[in-house]
Amino acid sequence: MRHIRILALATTTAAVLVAACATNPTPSASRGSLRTAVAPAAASRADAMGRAELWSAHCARCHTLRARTEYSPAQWAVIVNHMRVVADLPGQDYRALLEYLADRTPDVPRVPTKVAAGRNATTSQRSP
Amino acid sequence: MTRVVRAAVAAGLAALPLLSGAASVAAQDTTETRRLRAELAALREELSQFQDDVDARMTALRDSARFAQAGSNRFVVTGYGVGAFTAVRDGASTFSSAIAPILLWQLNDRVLFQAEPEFEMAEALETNVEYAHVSYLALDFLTLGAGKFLTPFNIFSQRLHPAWINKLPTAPLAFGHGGIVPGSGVGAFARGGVPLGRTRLSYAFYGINAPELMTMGEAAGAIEATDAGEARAFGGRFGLFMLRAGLEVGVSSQTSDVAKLAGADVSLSRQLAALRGNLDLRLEGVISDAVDGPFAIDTTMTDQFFVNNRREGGYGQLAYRPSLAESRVLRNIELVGRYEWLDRPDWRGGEMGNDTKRYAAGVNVWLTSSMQIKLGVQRTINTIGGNSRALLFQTATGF
Repeated sequence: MRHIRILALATTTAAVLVAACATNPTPSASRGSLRTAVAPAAASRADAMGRAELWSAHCARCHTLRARTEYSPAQWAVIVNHMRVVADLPGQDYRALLEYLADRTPDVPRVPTKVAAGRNATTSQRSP
Repeated sequence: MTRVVRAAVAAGLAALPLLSGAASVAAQDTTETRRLRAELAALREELSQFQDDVDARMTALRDSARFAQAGSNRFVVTGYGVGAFTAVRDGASTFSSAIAPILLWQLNDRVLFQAEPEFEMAEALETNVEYAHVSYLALDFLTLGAGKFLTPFNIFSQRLHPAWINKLPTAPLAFGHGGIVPGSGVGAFARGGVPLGRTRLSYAFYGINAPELMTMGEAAGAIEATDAGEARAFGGRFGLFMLRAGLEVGVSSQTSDVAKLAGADVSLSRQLAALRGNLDLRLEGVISDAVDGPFAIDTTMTDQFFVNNRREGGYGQLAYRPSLAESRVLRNIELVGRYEWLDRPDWRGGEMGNDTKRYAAGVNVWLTSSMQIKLGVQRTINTIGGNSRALLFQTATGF
């Protein structure tokens, strides 16, 4: 029973620690391999949480975040189905994650402004 | 007459420049026309080449799309691989490796078959099927399944055991082989999740072939999992996961003819700006109350005895990774510490009554989001059989 008491004490400590350090990090704020380079999509939200935030929260329950480009959307559909069973994901979260993984727009590197301007200038010169 | 001739000559002389100008304009027109025609021809040629190029690309695209087109069922292989070295002070040092491919076969949107065979190589090749079951997504909040599955009792066995997820090279005593928690079982389950605002309620109920209590011989008192027992064990887990806080708490229970188990788990995984990194806290505890006997060391059951057959185990693990640090090297280093224990009943006649405490600390280097190198030290304290120290090294890759 002594260990159980220790466990209960540690749990309380953890709760206090969380409350004391309470911040509201978003996935875009993380770095290194945890970085997902995502921005919450306002269009589709589950319980006022962005799909990216939902992705981050569910994955980080157990492991580091994997890059969205690691698998194709079709492969992700199967893997998230697997995760739905293992992590007991509700249907609405499951669908939100599928939408998030199918939409790869945020992962496409943006063209630097100067290059884009140069391209437009070139195009306008050729245009009649 | 002379006047007329003069006038004609004058007019002719006056028209001469006009005629030469007209001839010059005509020549210029011809040159421009030729240039334009040449340019038009070049453009036509370029357009033709462009058209050919587009046609070729479209053909290639159609071909690749035809090959990439998903069928109604999909097959994906993921999993993880391990290479490890363990050096025990005053003991044996061992290299080992393992691979555990996870086979996922989605027949349609609702039916999924998943299996994890495991191949481990140390002194000899050991094979095992961690799980192999089919699941059916009946409702948004209900999944039904049958086969061999990781029992949803606490969280280590079903979610944290893969080597690329586990932050130390070893599994906690109570959750590894010979521990208290049933890692997997053959049977059926019903589970799911329900959204409650920004909290997720998860539940799982299962029925599996019951474990067997060994009553005689050297292994008397041990509880062995069996895949074909006659009796059944029933259990389940309720969990609450607070999405924003990254905090999950759960309680589990399992009952059978030979033992009753109760467990609790707390996990916190979140990024804390104040600590400039990620904090990962895992706390799990389990109590097992098994049949008190009779037991006998000899197989004839002549010298029988009873014990208070109660086991208790658990662990607390804390990991910190400075993922918000400026240094890229620092961001990929993780520090981890774990304390664990496994108390067995006071036993007459051998190591069955051994109580164990174990301390472990490690440094992990993350090479990618799913590949880490772990270096750790571990000190084990036994009430029977002596203590030990070990150096642990492991590379783990999720794929």
